[in-house]
Amino acid sequence: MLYEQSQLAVILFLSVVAVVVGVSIQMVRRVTTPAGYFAAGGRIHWGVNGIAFVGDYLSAASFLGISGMIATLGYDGFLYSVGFLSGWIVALFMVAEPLRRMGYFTFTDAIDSTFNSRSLRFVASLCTIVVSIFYLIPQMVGIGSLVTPLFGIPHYIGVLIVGVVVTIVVATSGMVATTYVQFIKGILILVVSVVLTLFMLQRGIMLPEHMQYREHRPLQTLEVEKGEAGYAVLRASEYELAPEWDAAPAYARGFVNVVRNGEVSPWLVEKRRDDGLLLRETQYLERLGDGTLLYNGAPATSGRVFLVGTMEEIVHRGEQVQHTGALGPLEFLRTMYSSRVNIWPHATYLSDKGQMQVFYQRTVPAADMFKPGGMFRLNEGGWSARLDFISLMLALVCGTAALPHILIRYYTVPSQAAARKSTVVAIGGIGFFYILSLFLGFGAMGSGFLNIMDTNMAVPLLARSFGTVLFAIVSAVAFTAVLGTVSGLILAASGAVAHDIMDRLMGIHMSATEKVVAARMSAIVVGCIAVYLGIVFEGMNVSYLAGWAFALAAATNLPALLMALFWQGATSKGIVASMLVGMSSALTLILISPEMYVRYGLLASEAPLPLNNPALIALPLSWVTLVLVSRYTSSTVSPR
Amino acid sequence: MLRTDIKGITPELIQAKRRIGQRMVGVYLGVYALFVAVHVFSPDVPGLPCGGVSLGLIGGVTMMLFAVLMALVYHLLCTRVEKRLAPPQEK
Repeated sequence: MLYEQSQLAVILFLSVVAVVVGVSIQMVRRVTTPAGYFAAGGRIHWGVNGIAFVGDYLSAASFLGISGMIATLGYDGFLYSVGFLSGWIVALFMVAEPLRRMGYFTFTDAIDSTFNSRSLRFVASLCTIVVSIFYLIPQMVGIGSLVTPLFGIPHYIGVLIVGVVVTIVVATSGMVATTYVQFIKGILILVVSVVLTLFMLQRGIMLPEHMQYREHRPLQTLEVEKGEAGYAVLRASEYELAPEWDAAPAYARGFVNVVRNGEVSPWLVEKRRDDGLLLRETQYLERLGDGTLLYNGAPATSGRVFLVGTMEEIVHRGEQVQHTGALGPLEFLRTMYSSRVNIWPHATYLSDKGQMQVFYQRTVPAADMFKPGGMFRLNEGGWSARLDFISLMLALVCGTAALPHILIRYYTVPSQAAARKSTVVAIGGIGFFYILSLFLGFGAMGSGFLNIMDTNMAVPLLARSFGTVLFAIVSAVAFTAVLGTVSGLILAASGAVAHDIMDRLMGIHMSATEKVVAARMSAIVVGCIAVYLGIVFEGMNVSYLAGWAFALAAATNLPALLMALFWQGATSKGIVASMLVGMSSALTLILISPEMYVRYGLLASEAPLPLNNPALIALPLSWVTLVLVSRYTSSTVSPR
Repeated sequence: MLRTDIKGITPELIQAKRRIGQRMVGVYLGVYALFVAVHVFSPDVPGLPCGGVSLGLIGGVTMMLFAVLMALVYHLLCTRVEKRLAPPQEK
């Protein structure tokens, strides 16, 4: 049963909530000044800040999304890890120390430090808000994925619970509580990932029938015979072919609609013979016209989705085995590489009820999952696939150094050297996690505990293959993963509203206490927006969504930040134009991307541009705009 | 609104650390671009077997370890420059 509640998981979940809210309320009286609220007074130790960076950065997108992508798409999911970590090098070498030197509380402080321009301040804070909200979406979607199996409650209620908890955290004690929540979260994520990896290596790789906890089931097949009266299903009287099945859109994509108890479901045409067909069971996600999602014909909580992801054949040290026993890390990867695994690709088409995504099983050599192709069709996809890949890798490497919630963490340490040291700690911790996620992803691929319709659950479900205790612990940690990152994002956005716009731009005269109150009010508003977006984007892979946030941050903020810090020729008008062009072009490209077309209930092939990630166009456009406008306006503005 | 409350920073120190950062980011981004270019122009190469797994996997893990190594080297170089160029009263 996929959506079975675990009492321990619920207790741990509630304990995390109690601790987090307790810490926040405890610290609320210590936060009376804007410096305390936005930057924890600049007194955080670099080691604590480094681990808090790990906690801030390893969000739902990393903890849940990366391993989920590796488990379902293989090597292409791992490429995200490489890009995510590489972005930290740009942050360390180019941004960390100058930012600490030039700003006080927000990203806008640093970028406007030498210009003191009202328009620049407004646009930079607007961009901070937009990027933060975009990055909030995958976090909220991730928590919805997690809370549904944990409590057996609908996605939107899970998102709502988290939204309320996080808003309490941020609205009470700001950066102080956020730092400690992120610090604890960073440690928990690393420890849990190590423990889960060790458990997995100790168990080794096995065929499904040897698993102690087994939840997958063999797939059903149907034989269809061609007779004088037409086609008929053999030996399964409860099934019959749907009327006009061979004229339906499903048939054109290799599926046959079969009716059972009045419900129609698509079955994969496994073999075509002269005298009939052999059909195999599938899993399917229907997006109805009103936006309702049905999983195998029913809502997610009805439990119709079944777990998949099994090994078909295991080759260990050149011999075919049923169970390898304990493996070392390299041996684990080598054994996976030489074995055969059951994967679940999907096909999408429009039916009379709405959009249909059908997932079907295929057995492939696992070596195919160790090379590009799961997501990026670099070989057969032509140049559009290659450009999309370049675009994503560009977004990932350029996005980290432009994420406002990461940048504000540089203000919490007392010196530039501390900012640098905390970044080095962050790179070590994050790199270590991504290497572990490689093992977790490939481990989940053959664990028999993969929910193909919610890849974000790969790690918690992998933990469940070891029993409910580990599942409960991992779920609670995943919950803190979302809490920590969402806190940072809401803080960054509320800083932009209260400090940049209300205080410095509009010049609203406020006392220190009133500024903190304004920031708290802003945090509540941003929290409400996050909840709404988390509900709207239900079902998408969180790493994929994070890729968009990175592209938006890279195109909007990075050229502006780097040029403001390093190019003497940059003018405030040039930076404003660059940020506006970067943001609008990135948003436009996202809205007309093939992936968004699928969200609209259309087909990806109908999108005007085959590019899913906007960075390849939006980033250079933003950069060129900055240079051109700066050169054009350099004679009309005063030198900085 | 440039900060004036951070002590121990001289223009020479800022320049020196900026040079280190720019050179090292150039090296890393060059390697990263090469990694991406191999995938784009020779998509079969990452899938080649190497050491019992794929070459791409080894390349990706190497990129990660290289990032950690670069971060440590950058920190050591900056610390050395800070000691050399710190204002006399702070030495």
